[in-house]
Amino acid sequence: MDKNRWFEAAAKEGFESFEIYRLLSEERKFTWFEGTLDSYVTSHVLGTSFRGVIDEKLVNASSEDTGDEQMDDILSSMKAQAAMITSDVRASLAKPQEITFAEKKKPASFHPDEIRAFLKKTEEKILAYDERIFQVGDLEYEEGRERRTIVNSLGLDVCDTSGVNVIVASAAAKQGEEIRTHYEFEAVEDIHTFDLDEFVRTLCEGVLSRLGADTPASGNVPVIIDRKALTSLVRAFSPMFCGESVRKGISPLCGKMDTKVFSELITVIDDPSCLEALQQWPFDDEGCPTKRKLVVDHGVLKTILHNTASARAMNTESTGNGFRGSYSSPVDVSPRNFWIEPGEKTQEELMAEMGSGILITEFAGLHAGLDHVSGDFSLQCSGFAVKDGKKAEGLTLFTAAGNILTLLSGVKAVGSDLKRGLSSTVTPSVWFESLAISGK
Amino acid sequence: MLEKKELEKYLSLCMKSEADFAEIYEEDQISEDIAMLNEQVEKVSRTITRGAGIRLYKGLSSVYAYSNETDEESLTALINDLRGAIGEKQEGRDVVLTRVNYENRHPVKVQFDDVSQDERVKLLVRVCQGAKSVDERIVKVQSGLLNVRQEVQISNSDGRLISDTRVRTRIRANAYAREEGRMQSGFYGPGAGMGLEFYETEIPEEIGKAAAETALVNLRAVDCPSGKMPVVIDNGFGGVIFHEACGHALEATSVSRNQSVFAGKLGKKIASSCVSAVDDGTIPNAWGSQNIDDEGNFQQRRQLIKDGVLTSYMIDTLGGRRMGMASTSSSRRESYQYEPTSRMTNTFITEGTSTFEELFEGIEKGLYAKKMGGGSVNPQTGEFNFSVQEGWLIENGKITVPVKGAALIGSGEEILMNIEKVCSNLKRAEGMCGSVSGSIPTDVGQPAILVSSITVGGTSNG
Repeated sequence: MDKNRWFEAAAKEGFESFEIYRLLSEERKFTWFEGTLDSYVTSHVLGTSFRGVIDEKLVNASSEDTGDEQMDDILSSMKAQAAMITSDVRASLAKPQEITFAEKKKPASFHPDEIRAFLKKTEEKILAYDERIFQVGDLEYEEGRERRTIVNSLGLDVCDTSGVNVIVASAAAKQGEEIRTHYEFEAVEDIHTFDLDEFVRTLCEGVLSRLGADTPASGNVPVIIDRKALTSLVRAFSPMFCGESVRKGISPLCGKMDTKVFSELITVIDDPSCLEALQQWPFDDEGCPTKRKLVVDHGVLKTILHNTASARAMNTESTGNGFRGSYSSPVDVSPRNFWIEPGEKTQEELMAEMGSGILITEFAGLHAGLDHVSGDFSLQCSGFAVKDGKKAEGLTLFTAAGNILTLLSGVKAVGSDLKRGLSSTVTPSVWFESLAISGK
Repeated sequence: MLEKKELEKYLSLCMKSEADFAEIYEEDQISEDIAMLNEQVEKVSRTITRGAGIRLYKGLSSVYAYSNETDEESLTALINDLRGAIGEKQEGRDVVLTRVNYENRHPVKVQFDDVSQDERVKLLVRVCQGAKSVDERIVKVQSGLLNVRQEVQISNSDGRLISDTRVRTRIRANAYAREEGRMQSGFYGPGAGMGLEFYETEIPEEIGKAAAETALVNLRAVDCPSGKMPVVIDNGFGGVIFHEACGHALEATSVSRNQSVFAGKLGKKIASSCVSAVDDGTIPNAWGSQNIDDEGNFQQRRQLIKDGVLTSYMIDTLGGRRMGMASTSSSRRESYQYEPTSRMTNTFITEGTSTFEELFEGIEKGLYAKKMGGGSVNPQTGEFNFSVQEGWLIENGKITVPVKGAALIGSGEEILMNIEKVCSNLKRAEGMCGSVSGSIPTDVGQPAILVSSITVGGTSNG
């Protein structure tokens, strides 16, 4: 694709500036089931998105057919789209800025025979762990590679590559008529040095500890939310920190800049370039450099995340958080490498101090059970009773309901168990004063 | 789309392997999404999706490759990669294709790009005006108009060559109500497998009003009670209970691997006798309908449960091989980027005999779930959840005060048995269903039902 030809043609159509975003994604996925390779998926997709600005109005189009013969059609369609926009939000594309590229270690790719052997061994180890484990439901190994390129008529020309290997496994265990399942996923740098025993132990202990689970009584009780469960809750509520929601007045954090929104024990950071994280984004999907931001400082809201459009609408600068959900979706605002700063105590120490209550290890239904405007949530949970300061019997089929601002304001202690991984949002376990539990 | 001769060449190459079946799925889709805040158009996005997915089976194993580069060199490379993975052979049978023609059950009158941009935008302006006309406390309205036209062509080594064009449209409306610093929202998002003629009967102003009314009710909602209680779930999107509590667990995706609570239960009673349910992909112009499934088989109406007895699963070809059963034409996928598997279409509990009033009789304290949100399920344990968007308290058989949204949770096996009464006011509603083969349009539906006991996840433990 000849970018200059596109830029010239776009200028002729009246575009003040024009951007071409390309994402090449390649994937190999191996699925193993009951002793054999169940499926193998391979893909090669080059997605292209265009953004153009006319009269300070921004339009998007994406196409998987971008031969130069499509150019006139795409440009005239984009020009027509610009005429539809009546919003007074003014837009512009990113000018070239200095970007610091961090050293990234690329994961290796492996031969299909090595991957088959790895999956076979994983399944065998899971089934051999305990006789109550009767099935390895999903067992997948995936290698994904991406190459991201953004060029625009203002002179921006940036490119980066990323890659990740992932293993996903679920195990099912049975005791009498009761069946429980649990799954784990982990990034795999090298299948030969990957700590498979630890992965299998976490998975198997996860499912076995759920057997014999009971439903707790309803009531308001102190809770510790395990790091993985809290990560999922914070990730689901993360739009409240984003300029798009704040600009539209539909974030519970609207108008609360520099005020105390959470407990002073809560500090939140967003840093897409963070070297300790699994993945780094030196620039966002608009080509703006990314940086470390203190989002919440000891409970006080300090930063709202922005892309260029939301920043301009709120008279500020982009924070380098303009990201796309996929290559074809418009640039939105979202966090990348977003975390709650860890405290001093292990989860065991938090339980010992809490004495009695509930340890929530999983939320379900996060796509539906929360209200982004009010911050209210009501979610299916599973976890464990905490008795005499120790993890006791498993708990299932109960709900936890509350409000995210109230919850994060009632923090007793923040755990030390922050662990970076596949999710770019991470939190440690946190002990909260109280949450409404509905069970028996 | 590829020509018949090219497809025959590629499929014949696929069969020079240990594969016993090969399939090529081609897709060419255009979609447009217009997003509006109040009466201002904020975003317009057009997306063209064009690519192909190639699948080979060998017994119970499958290999799949997809790309949006469909030139001869790219496709040949993909096929050779798959042949290598499944086992290459120098010899194989030549595939000869025969095109299958049929009558389109889902005709479209007004293609979205046949009307002017101004007219498309005006639909959303009307949504906003409808919402704001309800009450001055409606301070914000976000709306969107999605239009999709997907063309698919499916060919396979059995010699079948068949095409389908799927058109669908949907308006989504979010209304925000504010009073004394408190803000609440309401959502309504009807759609259909139709063109813009849909909005001749589904009036945009009414879509806005419906969203606004839910937001206003939620403004005065009090804390929801918690614990187990009887729940009346209203018709339409209330059917999400069946979709989660039962539907997913009847898909071959989980049944064929013995990962469903309903595996091995054909002919057995799995629900209360007042429950019958179907999955019907043939309803003309419904949101979840198609002429053919994504393996090129004609869509069907499947009677899943009859008077409480399990009568059918939803099965795709590969799942059927595992189960020793025929496909029920239930294979679906979001796009060429997904290998298809068994999925729902328009899935609903059919009409019962109770009146709406009878559902409330004798309930001392319970919940009336008037509007539902989404949910999820673990098919292997049957544990599911779904959220209430607009709920009301039932006290002494009467609907009294609105309560805040809450999750309803339970186990599928138990809940189906706890459906005590089914009303006669069947209604379907549109949603998006996410699973291993992506996000696809499906209808849920039911008449209003009474569930004798279900866990309500409220905040009030008083």
